[in-house]
Amino acid sequence: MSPPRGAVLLLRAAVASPHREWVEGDLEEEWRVRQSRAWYWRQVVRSVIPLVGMQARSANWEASLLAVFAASAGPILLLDGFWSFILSQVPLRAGVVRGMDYLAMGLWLAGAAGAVAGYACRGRRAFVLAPIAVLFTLLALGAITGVTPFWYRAIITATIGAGVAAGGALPQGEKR
Amino acid sequence: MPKGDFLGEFEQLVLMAVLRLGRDAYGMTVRREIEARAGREVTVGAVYATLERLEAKGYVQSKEGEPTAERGGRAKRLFAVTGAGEAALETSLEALRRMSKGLKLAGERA
Repeated sequence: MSPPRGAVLLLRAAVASPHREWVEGDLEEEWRVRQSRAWYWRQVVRSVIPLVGMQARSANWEASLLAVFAASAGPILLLDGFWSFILSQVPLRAGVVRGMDYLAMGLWLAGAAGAVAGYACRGRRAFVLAPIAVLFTLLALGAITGVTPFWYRAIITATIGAGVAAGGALPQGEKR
Repeated sequence: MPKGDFLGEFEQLVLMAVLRLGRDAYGMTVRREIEARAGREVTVGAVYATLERLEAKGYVQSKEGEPTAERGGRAKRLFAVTGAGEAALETSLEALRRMSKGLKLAGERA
């Protein structure tokens, strides 16, 4: 009997080589003894977050850059794309101004993604990553200029900055 | 010892498990050792994340072992505690001993 396919795929999606080989090998070894699908799933699901965090902390330059992009331009572009798609389904509403729900979602996304990226990049080349984050944010804001007011863009940018600062200031905990 | 060098509770457990296991310390054996001795369910992901952090601090070192058939042909990552790791563990345990000395906890009073 093989380990649950879905759990193996989840693990492979979340963990990159070489960590993947070590973790998968360990789980395979234990699987041969236990033969418990529930145990295997529980191990994988509860391992994903610490393993992703570990990879982010020990990530190389490219991964840090990706985290900065995800925190800065990502939320704005994602939200605008989503909202534009919704409005495109409504006749004669393609150019409509976004409402307060749009702002609320934008703030939530920007704060959460900023905190995650700040946590992932803390203590890591901050003097280089900060200007890049600003650049990405300005580019993303430029893409939605005209469809959102200035105060909206300003508050989203400030929230990203606050999220990154909060994430970067989080202590190195003992989370399992 | 600087504030950042103090060991957390789970880091202490992991270091002690690696010390106990000697040459056979890798993710799954460390996990089993903690479960067996501390009675605490632990995930292999949490063990690896902690070992990675300890290695970054210079408290453990790792090397790749040989692939084995029971692991589906995959290699192990073997860990060993360094001198700095043993010293940090001793400092942390000594601090705990000093803090707990003379305390009467509920279990002992009963």
